[in-house]
Amino acid sequence: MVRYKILITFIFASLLSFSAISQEGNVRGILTEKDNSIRVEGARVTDQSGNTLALSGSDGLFSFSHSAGELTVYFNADSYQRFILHIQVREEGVTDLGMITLVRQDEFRTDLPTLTIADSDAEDGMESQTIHGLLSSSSDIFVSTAAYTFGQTRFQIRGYEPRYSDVFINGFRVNDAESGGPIWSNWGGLNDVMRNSVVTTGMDPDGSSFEPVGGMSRVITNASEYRKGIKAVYSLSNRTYRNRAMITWSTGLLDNGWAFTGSYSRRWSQEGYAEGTFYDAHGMFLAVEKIVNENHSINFTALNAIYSRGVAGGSTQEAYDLAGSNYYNPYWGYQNGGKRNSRVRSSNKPLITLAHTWKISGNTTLKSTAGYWFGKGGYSALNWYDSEDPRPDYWRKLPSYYTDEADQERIADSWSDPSVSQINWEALYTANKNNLFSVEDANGIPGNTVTGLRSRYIVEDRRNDISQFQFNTTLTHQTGNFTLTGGLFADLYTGQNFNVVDDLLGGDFWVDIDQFAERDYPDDPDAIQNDLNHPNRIVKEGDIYSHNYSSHQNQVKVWGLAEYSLNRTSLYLGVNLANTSIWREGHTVKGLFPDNSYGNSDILTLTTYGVKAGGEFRLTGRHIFKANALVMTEPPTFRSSFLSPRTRNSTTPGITEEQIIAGDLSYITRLPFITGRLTGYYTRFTGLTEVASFYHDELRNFVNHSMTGINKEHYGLEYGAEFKISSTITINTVASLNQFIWTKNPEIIITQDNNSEILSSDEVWVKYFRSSGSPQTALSAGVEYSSPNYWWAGITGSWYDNIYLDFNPVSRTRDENGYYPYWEVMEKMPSGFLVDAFIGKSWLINGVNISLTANLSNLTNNKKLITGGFEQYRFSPENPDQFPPKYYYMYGFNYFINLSIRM
Amino acid sequence: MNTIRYITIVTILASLIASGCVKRFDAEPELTPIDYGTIVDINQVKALYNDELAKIWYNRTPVEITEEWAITGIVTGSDKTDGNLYKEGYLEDASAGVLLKFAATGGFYLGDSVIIKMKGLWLGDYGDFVQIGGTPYTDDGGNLRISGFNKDERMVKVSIDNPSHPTPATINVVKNSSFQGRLVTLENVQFTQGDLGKTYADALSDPPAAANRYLEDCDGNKIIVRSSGYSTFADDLLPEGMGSFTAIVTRFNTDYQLLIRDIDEVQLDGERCMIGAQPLGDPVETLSEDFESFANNEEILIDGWQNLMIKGNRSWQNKIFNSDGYAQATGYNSGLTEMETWLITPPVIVSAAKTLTFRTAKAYWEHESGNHPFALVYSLDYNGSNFHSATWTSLSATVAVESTSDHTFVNSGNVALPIVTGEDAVIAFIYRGSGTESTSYRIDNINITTAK
Repeated sequence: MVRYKILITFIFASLLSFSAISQEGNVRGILTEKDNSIRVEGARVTDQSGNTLALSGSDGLFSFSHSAGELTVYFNADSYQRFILHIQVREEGVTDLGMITLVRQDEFRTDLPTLTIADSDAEDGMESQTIHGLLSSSSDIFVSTAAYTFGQTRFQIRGYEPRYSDVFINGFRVNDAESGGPIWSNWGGLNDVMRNSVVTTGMDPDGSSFEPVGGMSRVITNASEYRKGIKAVYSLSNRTYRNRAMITWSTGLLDNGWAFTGSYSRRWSQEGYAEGTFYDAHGMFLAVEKIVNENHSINFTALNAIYSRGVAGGSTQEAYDLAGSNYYNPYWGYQNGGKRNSRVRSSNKPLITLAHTWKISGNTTLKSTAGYWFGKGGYSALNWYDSEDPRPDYWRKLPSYYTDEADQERIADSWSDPSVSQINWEALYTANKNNLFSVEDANGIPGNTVTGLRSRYIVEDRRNDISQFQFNTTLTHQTGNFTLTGGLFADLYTGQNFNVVDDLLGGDFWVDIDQFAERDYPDDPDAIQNDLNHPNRIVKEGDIYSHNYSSHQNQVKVWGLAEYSLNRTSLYLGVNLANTSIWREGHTVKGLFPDNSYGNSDILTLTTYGVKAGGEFRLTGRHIFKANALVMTEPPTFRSSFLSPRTRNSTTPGITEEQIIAGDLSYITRLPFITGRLTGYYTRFTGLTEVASFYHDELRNFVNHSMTGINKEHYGLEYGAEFKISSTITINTVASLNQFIWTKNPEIIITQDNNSEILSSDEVWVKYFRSSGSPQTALSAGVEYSSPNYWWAGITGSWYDNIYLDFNPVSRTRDENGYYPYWEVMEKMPSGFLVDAFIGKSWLINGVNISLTANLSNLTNNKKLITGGFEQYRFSPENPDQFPPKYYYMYGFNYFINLSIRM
Repeated sequence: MNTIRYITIVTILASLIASGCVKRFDAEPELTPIDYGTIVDINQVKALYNDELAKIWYNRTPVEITEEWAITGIVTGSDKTDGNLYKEGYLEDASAGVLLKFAATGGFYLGDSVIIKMKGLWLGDYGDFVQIGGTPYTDDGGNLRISGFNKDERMVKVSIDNPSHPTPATINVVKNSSFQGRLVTLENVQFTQGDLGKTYADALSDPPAAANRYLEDCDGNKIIVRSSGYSTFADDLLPEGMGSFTAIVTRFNTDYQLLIRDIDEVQLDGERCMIGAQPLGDPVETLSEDFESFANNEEILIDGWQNLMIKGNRSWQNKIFNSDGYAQATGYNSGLTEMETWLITPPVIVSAAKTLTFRTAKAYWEHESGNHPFALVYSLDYNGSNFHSATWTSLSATVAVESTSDHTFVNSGNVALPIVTGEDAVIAFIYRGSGTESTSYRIDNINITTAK
């Protein structure tokens, strides 16, 4: 009888072990550093989706419950390299993982900002930035090298423009609404508190949103997850700023369920690497978290980066040669013995977010974020009326304007005087102080004559102030092998765009009229007004003038993701559907377009969708294959939707949604001594739009051009591998081989800004031209040494090729006889080689952790590498060399030295 | 670590961090006032170039002004008004006016009273017209030219909205070097008959082109008015009246030219005067003219008569053939699109009946069918100058026509003049033709006698 019972029990137990309903097992272990003497506290143990399974305690001990079966566990701890473990959870008893050794993170990677702020000289002054710093902490060697090493040369992964990646902070999408891309200076200086992030660079879903083709970065700012204690950092550099000091303080999770983390940073310099570039920035951050109970937690995060910085502009090779430096900056001049920069970027945009996490049940979670982002952004510039162009590198002031050699020499010699080679501020003040003027019918009052010093030169601030509400919620449900996620995203954005007089430069007032309209329609007092309801407006410092309009963009998105994972395979399918409304609201009646400038424009409503699918096949834990495919449409950005938003409500003719088709295949290996990835990808963009304005010399007027129907193909190979030669030495090799090609001749319409007359409608002959914005080939190889005595060093060599400039589409349209043969070919920049090195050491003294690292970039002082630039819009068919392109050169040797103290 | 220690450390560090300072250098600078030197007459400065002007043009070189001099005056020409000037301006004082070449437009407005430092500037000329500008440069033709100078660094504005005081003058008087660069007002001038119907300049070509037009006084003296194709009035038709014309006197080689600085100062709206119009003689009872007292090909000029060019630039000419003298008008070889000339008699008293006889002939008929080169009219209210407003009435007579043999005179028959008590009438013999309708027409033996 007993035997029978045992048999039954055995059968029952066996049956149970095969049943679909798994039992929960218990997993535990201890996290330590090498030689077990230091226990790692506060490490987050997460599963593949990023859900936190446990936090390690002060003794390094962690434990959690999980359903039996295969599980991939990630160990994330500040200052340590992420560790991944594949385990088998037993359904009975405890699965004891024992001592797990974590390896110290090379801190130089995470403390370093990787961006070298690059500003384009386009008339609209859009900020363009290099690859972002969060990627440098990725554990994928390709991604971290792309950010840390290649990023110096404006490299973008897969050549994607920044707007094809999303960035979230505490669940709030922080991409700039009007241009679409994330602007990193908006949270500059807050590296310390942005460390905890999940990044993807492709289509693979993260489960928190429907990512665009470039992936997403998600910064987790839960106050309880920061390392308890104080960290102070001081850095010394010669890049865009010279000094940086940061302090971060976190209470860790207190017993009452609250946690507070704060950070304050300051970056400053009187002058950066390029002349005349000052930097003055404060960053602040506060996170407050309350773990209400095991099901609810709320995290409040507020941050702001307040900064002013002087910008370095690019110029032509002729100007660089005249100034004797490839870093000549035409934007500054001497005033009162110091350098005054005319182009200053400033920003003060507080971001306030509140995130709520609700564990509805063991396998269902709802995460929501609501936030408000508001504030001011500005970019100053000189403006002038009825006066000589004050820019020192204006083409008529350069030797190339003259045909006689003696004259050219004379002008070249005069450049030794900084009042010639740079802006002559005193001359601007003198001109203003000398311009006694009477304005008739000032402010629209007949007979009202205002007499005073009318400024001919001023500094204006081009403002873009924002006000954005966002709500974002995601529901995740796990059932069996499926994880189902659904999300709703709503964003309401209003931007305020206007110019403000920043400095009258010694004058008493400026008059708000359009000087180009004045030249073309001198007898029409209405046409010249920028604000027809207040004609001949007298404007003083701080007053709004020139234009004033709101940019509206509202978006609602729903998306869903289904993930199916088995032992060896996981598959996913994601969809999204979005509705975006874009429109302009003018606040002044522009004299040239009295019927088409005030009030709301036509509302562009676009419905876009996306589908992505793919999967992962794990041959073993060491050999993994991934495939992804994506078809989606994106709405155009606000900036490309309007022909000339400063003057009128006209939308860009022929504008469409963008369509993106992408796919990639990867092979990933995780061997004990080699980890690496090889990926082949292909992306096709159709229906892109580009809009720009420039000053046409012959017409002596502003002209808008809009290119629609742009098709591009980006494809290539990504390779990255780390070879652990010994316990201390690692060799990295990374290669990125790409082609970014325009595959169709787009349509271009050129309109005169003054009267919306269409000057030409043509085809742009640029098929098979290359995109600019990133080198197409980048290779690197490096070796790192990580000593058990807490010091480390490394050196990397990288090589770049296939760098192309932003081309001028107008010179590639047909003239009466055909097209301009001189510009048929695109100019390729020369290839270049860079060497970077780092060295660092850390000490532990009385419980205080001190570390000192030095990052030395461009050791060979290569000052010949052109990282970017653009062809001028001005061109002369009779004299093609008259308007050469403007280049940006890679900085020579530069360093970043970091001292951090942790208590 | 307890909370207080935390907070203390954090506060200290934060304040240390916040104290890093970045200077901005945007306070208004102290400006050194322009030391312009001693003020002298514009004439004195221009005189520095006299030696060069004496040389032949290709041997001249620009002269640098090294003296610590300055000039002052009222701005009489600005590139801001009406677009006729570009990167240049005119300044005038009591002694003279001068052309200044600037590096950029703007900041120099009509009515401004300014002082400009001369030292470091250069004197040059273009077509013998003196100008002051900046450092000379060589243009693509290899010629040495004066560049424009930066006015902001050497000019002081004393006052604005000063009225200008143009010098009253006449066409002949302004054609003198002392007037070069001065603002003048001419009275009783009009655009020549030949230029009526044209625009000031050629605004429609690509690029727009400047043009010369002719202004004349009532004595027939002419001067060129040159306007830029970029001016706001370039495409306006020339005004057809006579009146006052204010402009700046310039020069190009041997041609004196007028430059309009403000189109509102061109006020040509009065009645035109007749060029070559001598006064009509006193009224007579009879008259007789056989054209024997003139030389061949001489323009008919009879005391008391008028020989007017109404369209084109030809009038009745004296011709002698076979010892017979007669008046002839022809469009042949004139190149004119329209030719019209009137031979007008002195007034004849018509209180009593008067008879007019004359004879006409034609040669080389080229007029199209329906068009006749000759017409005969009279006027009771023409006084010698009111040509356009006088009433002209047709008179019929027998005259040479297309079918008449060439060179054969035809008697007019007796033409009865109207009888109006106390009035007198002028008779006009009109030729109308052109370079293509170039028929030659002759009149002879004009007699007005008392009717029998």
